Amino acid sequence: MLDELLDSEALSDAMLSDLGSGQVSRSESLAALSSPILAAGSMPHSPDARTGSSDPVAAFAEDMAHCLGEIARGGEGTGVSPLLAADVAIEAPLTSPGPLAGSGSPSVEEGLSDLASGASSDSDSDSDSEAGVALSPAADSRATYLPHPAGTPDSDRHSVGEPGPGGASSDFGADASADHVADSTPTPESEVSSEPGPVPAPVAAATPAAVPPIQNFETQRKHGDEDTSWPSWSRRKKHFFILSSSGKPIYSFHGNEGEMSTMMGFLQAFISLFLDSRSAAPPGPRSGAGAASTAPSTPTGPGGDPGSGSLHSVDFQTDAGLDMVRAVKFGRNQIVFLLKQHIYLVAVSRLGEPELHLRQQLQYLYSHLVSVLSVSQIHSIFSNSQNYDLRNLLNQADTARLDSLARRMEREPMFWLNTVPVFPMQATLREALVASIQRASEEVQRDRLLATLVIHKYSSIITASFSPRYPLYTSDVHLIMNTVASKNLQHFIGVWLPICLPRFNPTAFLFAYVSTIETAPDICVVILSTDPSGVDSAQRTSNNIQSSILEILRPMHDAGGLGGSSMQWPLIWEYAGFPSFTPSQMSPHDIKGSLLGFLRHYVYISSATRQHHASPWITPYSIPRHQRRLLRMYRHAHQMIHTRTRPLRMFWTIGSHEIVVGWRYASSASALPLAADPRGGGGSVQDNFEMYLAFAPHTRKDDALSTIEILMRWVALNEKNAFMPDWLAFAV
Amino acid sequence: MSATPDKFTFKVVLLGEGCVGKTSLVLQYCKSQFRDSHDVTLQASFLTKRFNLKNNRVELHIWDTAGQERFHALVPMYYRDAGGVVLVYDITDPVSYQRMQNWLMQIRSLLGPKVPIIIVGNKSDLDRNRKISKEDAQSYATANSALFTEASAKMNSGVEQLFVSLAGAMLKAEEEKRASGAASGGAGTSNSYNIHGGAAPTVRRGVTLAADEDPAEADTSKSCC
Repeated sequence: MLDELLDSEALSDAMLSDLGSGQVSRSESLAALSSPILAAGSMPHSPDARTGSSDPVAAFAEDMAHCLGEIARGGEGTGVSPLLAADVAIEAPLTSPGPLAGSGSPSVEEGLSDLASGASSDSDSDSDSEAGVALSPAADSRATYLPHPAGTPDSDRHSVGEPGPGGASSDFGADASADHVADSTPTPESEVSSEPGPVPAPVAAATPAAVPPIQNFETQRKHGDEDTSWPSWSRRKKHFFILSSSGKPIYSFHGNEGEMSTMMGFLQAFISLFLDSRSAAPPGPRSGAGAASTAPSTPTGPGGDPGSGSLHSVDFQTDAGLDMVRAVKFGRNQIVFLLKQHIYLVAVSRLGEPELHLRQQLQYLYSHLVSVLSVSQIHSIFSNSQNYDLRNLLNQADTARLDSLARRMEREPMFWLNTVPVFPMQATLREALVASIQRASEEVQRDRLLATLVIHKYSSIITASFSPRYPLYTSDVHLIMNTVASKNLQHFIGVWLPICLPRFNPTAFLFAYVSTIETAPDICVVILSTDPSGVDSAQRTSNNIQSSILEILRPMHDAGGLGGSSMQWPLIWEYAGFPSFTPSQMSPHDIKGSLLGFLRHYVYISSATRQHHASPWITPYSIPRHQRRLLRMYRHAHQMIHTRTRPLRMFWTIGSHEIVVGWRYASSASALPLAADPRGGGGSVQDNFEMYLAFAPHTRKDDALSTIEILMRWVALNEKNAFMPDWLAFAV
Repeated sequence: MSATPDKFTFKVVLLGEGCVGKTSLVLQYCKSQFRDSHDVTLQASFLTKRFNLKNNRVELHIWDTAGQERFHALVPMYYRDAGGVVLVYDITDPVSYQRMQNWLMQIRSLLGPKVPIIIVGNKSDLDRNRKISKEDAQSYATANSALFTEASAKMNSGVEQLFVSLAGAMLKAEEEKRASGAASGGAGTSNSYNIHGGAAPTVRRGVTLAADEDPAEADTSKSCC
């Protein structure tokens, strides 16, 4: 799977086209870029962080960053041009021009420069393109060293009243055509097609022999025997490393972390360098966390941890006071650090993902560790002995779950959307389910029961039940979904396991009883309780819930609506009770012509309840590679919509394979004329929503917009089927 | 009494060091599966098996526990209601044998001397790497009034027998219990281990075993957590 992900073609879309084209050598392209960087880097601010090699710290950092870049670049090329080292500058990015500092990526720049070139006369887009121009110096190859800002520029929690660029007219409106659409011209096809070249081809030439076949999907841990000396290892496009603050390896996404002690030690040294240099105290022992926690330089407010500040502030636990290196950008390689009190996490990616998303992914990996061990346990372990090898407490199942998490973050949008995917289902059925779950739960353990989740295929929520006083957090739900997907669960009727939900309470364990329904193995019931000795009652509850689920969903189940691979779009829709459009509401031509003609995929997010609903993958997205490409396009759109400075209302991008539209609507005073009438029937109005849509490449803008309009009516009509009731809103 | 078969439900807990093959034994027994790959068990996993024994219908609720050390603190929670315990060690691994002995002491002190225990030396197919001789284990088991057998989940030898003989011992203990104190039956309801919500009234019989140990368990559960 990941190999496909790393497929060169996956990089070929316009968004990801890199700084240099395939023919230009890396050093040349970097040289071309170096001038604005150096200009940005040598701006007179932060006294101790400076480009000049006169400062030993900076010089060392340059070397380190250079080496890191070398790691990330892997087998690519042999010698390193001195230019590369010179390009690495250290900068205090608070003062850098764009508040996106550190999150800039080639794709962002390119998207923005596309914007600049594509939407020339549009005033709204102009302002965005200015942002893009301002951004670019800060978004290049250099080490980004962020002190703790009081207000994190990155945490992008959107407030409803936040003005969009199209503030003048606040609604989508009847003429929602060019005015509010930031348009980007497609990258010239020639450039795109030359793109797949640079990475794999030279590598293949440089290391002609001794490349082990990358095909054994059957082994328990894919490529688990690799270490840093393997060419195949260094060629992987995405790495995650977890190490303890003393430099002991904990986890590596690829290969055997035990064989990577040298590199982990190096990472630790690199991180400590920044920690030490930043702390006002004289450089103490290399105990990263210890030195950092005493660092007085940046008083951060409670919870003000920019390290974990991700798009929707997934900061589960903040370790205030850690001054840290946050990211190193090196050509197309992005190295992102997330420093927790005793644990360091590092991501190295060549996939052009935004830094924020990478950091969010690291945060998820950390959360998984917390879900297994809890923060308090981690803390007590490392306070007792800083040298502790945390792997003693982790087992293969944990590694497998970290692996699966790392992969799922790549292919499931829920992680970066911060939403919970909801299985579409007739509203009446869902209500009946919720009622029966509540009956079954009350019977057994009133105050001990925290929540019940019914999960379909470990990837979407059929229904849930929890008290609004203790809402479930989306990130916790994601972790639960990943944990219960563990394959060794499927042999058993039920599993009882302690789990810590990091967002809910990072210091305490809850107890989960996880069971799959034997006759419908796709459905999994999770009961979360606070009672450590409640196995039996949880089991009883679970049995009751299972039987009522079977009873209620029998028609759907028999018809294959819950079935495994046989799940088809029309079938789901039908059995989910999605009424097809009747002629009175919409002409059949509309629905057929648009949904099946232009629209290829969509994700609809209910911002208030943090639930999302996506159309199933149809051709051409039945191939995972295309799915991932589309998801990267979505991500990019998501990032553009959620940048803190100048969030776009709508982002329209034309890729080589599809047109991707992202649109966020936050209800303001004015009503939404489009969807007003079908919603007249009452019910909860999804006032705030986001949509990501993929259209066929040659769709005209008018057609696309009218399709969106139809889709919105449709979702409005089917809102109750697509989403869980309002009172089951997840928290972020 | 013997006209219709009695139905007994027993909770069986598998304990032992990690990687000795507890899950393999259970899966071989309940599902006739064996996988060479090793998946670590998540905390405690549950399976059932029904069969007839001496004109009784027996249903075993088998709890397979994780052998990894970080889970050990929670284990007493699982065997507190156990009707029988399967202690597994690996005949090629002296550490697991030692560990098994610790488990035995712990269980005897918590569940009393009467709870049926079977000690299983797993991986008997790896005879040439054997570190623990059958005689030693057998004499240890006898000294501690536990049953003993060797089994191989991989070859499916001795797996069924071990559960059947444990079930036999549990039945016997159950009948003794019933004969000795009919009065204790009423006390057991509060802590009854009854999965089917009272569908089968005879189920409760399996419970009295555990109910007698209730005060001691309550203490331990507090101390361990």
